[in-house]
Amino acid sequence: MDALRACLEGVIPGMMATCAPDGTPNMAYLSQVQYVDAEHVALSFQFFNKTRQNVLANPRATLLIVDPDTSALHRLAVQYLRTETEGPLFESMKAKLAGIASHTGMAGVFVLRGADVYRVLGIEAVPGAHRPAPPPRCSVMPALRRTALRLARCRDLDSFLDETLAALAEGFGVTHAMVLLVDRPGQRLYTVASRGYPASGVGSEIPRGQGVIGVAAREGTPIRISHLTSEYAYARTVRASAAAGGLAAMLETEIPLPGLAEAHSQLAVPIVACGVTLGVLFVESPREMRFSYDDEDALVTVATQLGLAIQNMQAAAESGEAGETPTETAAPSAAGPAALPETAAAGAPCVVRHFAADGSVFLDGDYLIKGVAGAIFWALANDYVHLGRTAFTNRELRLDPRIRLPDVSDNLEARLILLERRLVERGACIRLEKTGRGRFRLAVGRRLELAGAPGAS
Amino acid sequence: MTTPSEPVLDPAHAAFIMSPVIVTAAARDAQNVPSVCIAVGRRIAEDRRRITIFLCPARAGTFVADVVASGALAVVFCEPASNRTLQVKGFDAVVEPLADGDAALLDDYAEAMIPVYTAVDAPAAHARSVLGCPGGKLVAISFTPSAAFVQTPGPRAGEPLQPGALPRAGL
Repeated sequence: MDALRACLEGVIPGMMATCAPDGTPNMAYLSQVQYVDAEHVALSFQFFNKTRQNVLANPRATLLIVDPDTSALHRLAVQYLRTETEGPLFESMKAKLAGIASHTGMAGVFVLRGADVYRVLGIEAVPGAHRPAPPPRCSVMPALRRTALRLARCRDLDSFLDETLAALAEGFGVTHAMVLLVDRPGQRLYTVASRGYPASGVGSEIPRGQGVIGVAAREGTPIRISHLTSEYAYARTVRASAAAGGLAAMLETEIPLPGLAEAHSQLAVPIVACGVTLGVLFVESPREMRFSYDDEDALVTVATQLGLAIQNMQAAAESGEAGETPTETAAPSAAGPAALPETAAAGAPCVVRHFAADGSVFLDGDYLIKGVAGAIFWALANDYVHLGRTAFTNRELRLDPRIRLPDVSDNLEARLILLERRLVERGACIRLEKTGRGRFRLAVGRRLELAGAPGAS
Repeated sequence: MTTPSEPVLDPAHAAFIMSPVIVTAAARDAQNVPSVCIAVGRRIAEDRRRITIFLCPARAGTFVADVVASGALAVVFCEPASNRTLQVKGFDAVVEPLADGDAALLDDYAEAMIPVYTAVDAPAAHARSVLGCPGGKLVAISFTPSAAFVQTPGPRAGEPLQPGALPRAGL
């Protein structure tokens, strides 16, 4: 089936012939044929209809599928094996069907009851005068090779994230993309990098299991939708439903999610390493049917390299941290690199306020971050003000009881990247600067004042 | 099968069948393994008791042989822009020679189908390809409609056909 995947896309639906045990044939249009692997396809089971009755009684069926580019027809002899009503295949088809339903005016009519898995017994090319195949939009394999080599040169997670998104833009023409990582016990994902949006949205969160990204994370499977559909919109609607479900308090809602207002194509690929889903690589486009099976293959490969990199760099950072203690101390007045923004109120203190209930931090009344990253920032600010410290290690933060990392394997480095990017985006008078593997320094441009406030810690 | 006293299809159904709709058909072999093909045209008798579909045998796989052996077939007529769909079953199908006027009928059908395909984003060349026939030799298969069903997607899909217009999608 590998060579026929294009036939499973496109606007021209496939057809399916079945036969009742009494010998009465039946014809039906297929709203979705999903590639499973080289020898299996899955069909959407939406209605308890004649086709359904027939395949349960007589599992042999014949499909006719159309190549949308060349109009070539292929006949598939298939045999019904089983129906899946949950899990990666089901969720992937459910999301795709939502797009198809929306595109064909069938929203609310097409509802997936199950993913019917069929073995492909034979494929017959139907002879005919076909249209010439169009040249490929881009050659995926060379672009993938260039991307892999480019990423292999990265030395830290920060540059790996940025290079991944840059390589997708330059190699694959993917101009809107983001990386989200799993906050493992928290049932949510946080944005750690993005490209192509007016605001980066770094630090924004979405609940696991909702929208294209959340479902891809929960199921550990790529979710690809080729048409605009409100059902899988991941921004406002997802967060509105999260708020209704009582998750608003635990979810980062101050930072707007990046994202296209109307994404006609979406593809979310889980970032997996050692069998664990670490996050999601998400791309989107205002064009319909922008991402193909080939794009999905490429993104899965890139996401796999990203997953291994995240894991390796975390391990390397931790081994590099081992046994090291920061020795550098500096007076607050001595800190402050040239990169720090000039402020009109230079000399006036920067008021840092921390609310223990949700870990949120405000700088001069402006929201910065909350949660784990907020707790990290508050610990750093306290050590800076009370102890005059500017040098820190990842290792000490990992062990710091004030921070309470949600999981021993939590990706602290990613949390620091998130915090660092938020500080830059907010034009804050404080920066985190890497000074070595697993080490960084706090650069402070103004005097800090840790303010108490009702409810503040 | 006995011929019902009233035709299964009423004039509205016959008009739908003769409008620019995609025609596809299924049959089966002696082991009930189904076959499927796209027809390149259709004709319905004035009394609506006989439907003829036209096929390119080179593109029909085992469909023609299956119909000749069993006489059983299912034919679906679909208007893609609206999703209105109708399925007709027959059990006495036979291969017939093309009649006078069929060639013109098929030309008209092929021409009428181009905007039908382009309306759903398939180029005109797609219609010509799908309705083309290498070698040009066509087969006519004629049958008595013995049962007909609504197949427009929605809760009424699969119901026996009622007199009058087909339901719209989702109704």
